[in-house]
Amino acid sequence: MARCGCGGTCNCTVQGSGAFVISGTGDQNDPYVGSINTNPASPLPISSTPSGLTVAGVQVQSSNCITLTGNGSTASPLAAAPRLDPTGLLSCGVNGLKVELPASTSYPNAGRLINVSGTYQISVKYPLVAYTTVTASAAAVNLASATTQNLSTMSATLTNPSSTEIMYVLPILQSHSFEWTMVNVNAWYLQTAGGTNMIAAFTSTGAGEYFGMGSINFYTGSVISVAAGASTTLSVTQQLRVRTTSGSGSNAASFGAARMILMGWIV
Amino acid sequence: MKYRTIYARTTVNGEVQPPYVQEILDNGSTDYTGSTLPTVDQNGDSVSIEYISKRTYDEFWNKENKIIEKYAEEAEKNQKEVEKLNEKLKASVVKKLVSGEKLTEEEAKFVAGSLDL
Repeated sequence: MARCGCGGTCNCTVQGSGAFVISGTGDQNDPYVGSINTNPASPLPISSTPSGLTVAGVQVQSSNCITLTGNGSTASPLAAAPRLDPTGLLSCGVNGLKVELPASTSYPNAGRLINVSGTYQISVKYPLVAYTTVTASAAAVNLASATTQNLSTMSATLTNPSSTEIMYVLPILQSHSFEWTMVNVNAWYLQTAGGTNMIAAFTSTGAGEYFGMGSINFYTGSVISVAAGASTTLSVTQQLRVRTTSGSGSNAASFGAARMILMGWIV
Repeated sequence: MKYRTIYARTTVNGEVQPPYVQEILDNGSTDYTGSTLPTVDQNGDSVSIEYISKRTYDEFWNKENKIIEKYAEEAEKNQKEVEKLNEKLKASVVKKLVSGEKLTEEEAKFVAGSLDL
């Protein structure tokens, strides 16, 4: 016990500082007592114990995405770990969070709708899922008859192989190529059934004229939408319309093949 | 992708059309034998497709090509005759025009046609 060697009343001056406070008068009945004041408003509680000052450990609270552990001490430092769900796609690497893609074969519709190339590369594909080409020769036509005669009819049905997505079909129609020899005044037309599409029209005025034309795309477009699992059928008839019988017997016509191409995409 | 060649012919509104060749992207699940039930196509026509053998396809076109060949031969023969007649008319027209003679109706038509009148 601190003593000043004084009698009933001590004249020593003892003064605390900061959190260290001195109480008592130094009298035998009221000795000086040193103690540590602790601030109840401190974020980390500190207490004075016989073994020394004690600072309470840090409280931790985890969130949905981060798990916090430890109390900030050397023995139990604070540590944060990401919470991954599902594990495997996202992981914590030495340089930070990283996406780890599973092999492309584990994707639904892999290679058809989703393409995975290399690491971290995903692209969406617009696959051609249905395709057909129809090739038609032209039937014999009687050029001495002023009528409309069918050269060919091409038909094709495309079925949407997907059970969930819409397929879009792009039709490309190509005409018969032809060589025509028309005698005297005459007029011939290459057309689709009912004259919906006029592909070619030629009129001869002299003693004899020759016309020739290669196969042309006379119709491209009007994309057809086909529901999942459904089918669409397209048929095209090409015709020769002879307006008069002028030059009968001397007229000649030869035709090349016509084509119809149907392509079905899922986009 | 696996492609396959099939042969077919279409019946449009009850009328059977000439056969054709079709190349398809074969998904292995479509049956290309027999005939399809009539369906309404994009034009609103009733269409059924009959899948046929290559032999049936060839038989049709062998027969059809003979007819086409025959028509072409006849046309070529007739065309030569027309050319011969035109040459003859040309000669007589020139002769008559030079001498001031009156043209026949056939000769006048030839002149009109040649001049695109």
